[in-house]
Amino acid sequence: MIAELGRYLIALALLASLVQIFVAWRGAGGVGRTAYVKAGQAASEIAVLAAGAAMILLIASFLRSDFSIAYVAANSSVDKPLAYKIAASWGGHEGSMLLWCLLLAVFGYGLARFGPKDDGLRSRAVSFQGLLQTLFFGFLAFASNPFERLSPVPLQGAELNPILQDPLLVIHPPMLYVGYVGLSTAFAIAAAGLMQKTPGRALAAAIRPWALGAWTALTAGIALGAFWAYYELGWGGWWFWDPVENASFMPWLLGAALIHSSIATEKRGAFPGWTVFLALLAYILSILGAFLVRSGVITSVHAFALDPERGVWILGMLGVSSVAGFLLFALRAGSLGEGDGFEPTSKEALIGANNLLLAATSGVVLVGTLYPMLLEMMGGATISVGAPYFNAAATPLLLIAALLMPVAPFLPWSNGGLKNAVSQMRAALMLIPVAAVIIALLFAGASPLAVVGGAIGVWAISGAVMDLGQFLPVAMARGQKLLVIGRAMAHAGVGFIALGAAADASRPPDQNIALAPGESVAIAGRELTLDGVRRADGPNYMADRARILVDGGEGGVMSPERRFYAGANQTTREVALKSSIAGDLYVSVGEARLRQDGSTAFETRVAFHPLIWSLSLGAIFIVLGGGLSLTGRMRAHAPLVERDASARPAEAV
Amino acid sequence: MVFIVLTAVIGAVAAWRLAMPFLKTGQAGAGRLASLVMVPVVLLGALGFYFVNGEPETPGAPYAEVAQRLADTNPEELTSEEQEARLRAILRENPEDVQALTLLGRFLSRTERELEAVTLFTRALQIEEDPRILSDMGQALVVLNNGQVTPEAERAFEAANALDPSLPEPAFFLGSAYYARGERNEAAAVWSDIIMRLDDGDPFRAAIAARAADLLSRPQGGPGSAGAAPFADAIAAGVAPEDLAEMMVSRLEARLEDDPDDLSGWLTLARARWTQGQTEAGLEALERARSRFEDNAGALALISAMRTAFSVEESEQ
Repeated sequence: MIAELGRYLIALALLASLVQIFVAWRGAGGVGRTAYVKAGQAASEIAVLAAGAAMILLIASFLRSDFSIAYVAANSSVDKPLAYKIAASWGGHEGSMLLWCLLLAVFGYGLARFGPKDDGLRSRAVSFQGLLQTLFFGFLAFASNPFERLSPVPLQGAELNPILQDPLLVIHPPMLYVGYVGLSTAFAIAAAGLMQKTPGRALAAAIRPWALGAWTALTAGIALGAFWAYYELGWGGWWFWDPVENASFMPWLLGAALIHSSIATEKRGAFPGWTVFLALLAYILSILGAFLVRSGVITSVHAFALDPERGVWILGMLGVSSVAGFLLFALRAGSLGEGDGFEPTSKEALIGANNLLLAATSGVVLVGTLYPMLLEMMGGATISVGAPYFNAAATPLLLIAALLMPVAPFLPWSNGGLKNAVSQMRAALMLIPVAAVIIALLFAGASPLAVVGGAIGVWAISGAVMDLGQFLPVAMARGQKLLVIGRAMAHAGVGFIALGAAADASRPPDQNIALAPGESVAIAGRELTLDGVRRADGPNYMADRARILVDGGEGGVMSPERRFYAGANQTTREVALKSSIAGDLYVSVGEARLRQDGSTAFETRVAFHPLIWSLSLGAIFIVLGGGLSLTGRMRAHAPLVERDASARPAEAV
Repeated sequence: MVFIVLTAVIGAVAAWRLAMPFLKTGQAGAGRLASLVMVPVVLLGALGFYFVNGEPETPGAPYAEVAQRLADTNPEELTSEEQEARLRAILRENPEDVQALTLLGRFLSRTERELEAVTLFTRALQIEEDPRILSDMGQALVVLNNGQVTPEAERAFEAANALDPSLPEPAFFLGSAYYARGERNEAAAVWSDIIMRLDDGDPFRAAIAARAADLLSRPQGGPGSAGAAPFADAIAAGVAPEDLAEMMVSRLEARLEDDPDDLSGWLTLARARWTQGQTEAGLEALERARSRFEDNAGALALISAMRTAFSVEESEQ
């Protein structure tokens, strides 16, 4: 009965979303609108409660190992640890779509309760959110139901993909989805604003906090995924430019552009059309990401052609959202108004330039991601576009954006002020060549791009520190202080990521070697000796655990594992990391091989990732910066007011 | 029925929640009409969406219930998959149940899941040292390693053989390990020994004898005792293959005159002569071996197995 109740609750959430469209729309104007507004809120409540209850029932089904539900049978086994049974609820396709729908409903409810202060705008936004909910709940109910039944009922499940059985993967998808789905609120507010001809400045002010919250969550989600890839996949990379990653990176880039352009629009009325366009496009790219990941086109366009139901549904949702959003934009963009002019070296100009760079990067990523599929679809060759293309085309654009980023806080609105800004940032500017020389000396053989990237990272960090030193003392209210700290932290975070990426790109070559007990391998001045391998089975896997001595044990012991999950018939490598300020020692063990002399040697991958902590620190800084900016934004709506009239304006950028 | 009642209650609560704003504001006309419309729309609409794919009659199948059903059923009435599930259920309740560990391990071995089987045998052996489990584990390891008796498997067979020398499998695989290392006499000794200890009617006896005879009668490769290829000169001189074979067999014959206790050598000679078409000479070699090993029942069994193989070959021609 649990499964059928879950299915009913999804149907109820779908119906509530449909009702939400109409009653919330009616609540935006007309006779007796108060009742309709409240009914719209009630509809969003019902959608949240129904979807939330459905999610709880799905989790309960996983905990009970009810294999009469096809999704549970495909993603769980009786012996799986409790946490991963829960995580499996959103680990596979149908469950993740339920999570997507639940979050859409939560954001719909959030809009209804805490949305734009303009009642009409809020009601219409709730209505548009209802439309997005209806599309996805419809998809869930009719094409992707997590409570679909299975007959005959298998005695054991097929197990969740073992590489997804990881503590980080319990929170990575929800966090990522908060980001993806959170961008739907920006879409809904933008569409509502276009519909009722809200002026650009007011619309940007309404969009900004929602976009900032979503983008912050998306950053956290992507960072968690990158960290998971680094230590779980066993080959030491954290970003591979694969289509799944690109699917999240494109909305992230546009989200970053959106939160910055919305500041310029809100404060100075600049780029109103561009801001609204980004708000629409960011969520559309989120749906495109869902299509790429969930339709099967990534595996092969032929796989999509063989089982097109889901893909066509998502494509349909993408089409409806895009047509509705862009048609409204085409018809109503004129109503957004135009801001005052600005000089080419003003804050607006720099925000505009960075927006162009971020959007261009997103375009480069989009082309590189879609081109192989389009080519295959048109009967051309099967090709893959990988890191060489993205590194050559996207990285320079991002580096230029990072180079410009620290200057913006020092520029005034409207008027040119580059000379003054450069003068204020002299110390940080001087660090660029110094950092480049140090990096080139420290990492012999580093590519020019890595040296430039590292130097720009140092520049961004020092720029953020100067930003803090310059503007924190003159920020008066607590909200304003939080805005300044948040901005500086986020910008420093970008610098740390650039530095970490540059250092990691310059690391010594990884070593793949077969080690028998007693044998050693040297890397980055450390000697790693395989002391032995013993069995270390877990509840649903068998494992060989290696004991590796660092510098004969004086530097500690590392214990990588090779696991075999019988239920999934899959082998994984559990990496061992030894972190220090210099970087991570990284070891993974693979298959055992019998040598001709009768000894057993284990495939071992050894690497050293210099300054890799800088990437994590950067991500943490950006997320904290985003969080602080959001909190500061809630506390202080007014533009920052400098105590010292001689100081440059310090609006959060 | 419970399901219908439950959905009706949920639907009614949802409809009431949607209608409330209109009722509270006491609106007349359109508002009240909307609230009246809302109730059937929500109640029937949600059920309508549900029934597109809903299966209200299909019961759930939580694992606890399935495990209970398997436990309550006579094992003989269960399918092999259900028996496996039942054994796993027993082990979840009592992970140290040696019988369940062993039975499940054997089942997994038979269904090409040797790696998991080895784990179960290892767990069983940590609780109880048993020659049969050791033997099962060794065999699983052999299958896992494509028929190769690895050092780990050999250790298991040695332990099993030490605990119960009457078990045929450990002895057979120990002999195989010796044979793989080129220690033919040791292999022949181990195989002869186990054959002697098995009853005449034991199916393992005939199977081991046939397999051992087949292996021991295969020509031995590699360099000669001096370290050099013994027929390198002849090969270089372009001697015809059949002449070369005759030279090799004659050399073996001569060696057996000096060392007649080499059972493997006699079997190889018999087989070589038989293959050359010199059936009488082949049978004579077997007879000479029989008289040489007349006090060794195991060796005699191997010789008989070789003779049987010749007969079978003869009847097939």
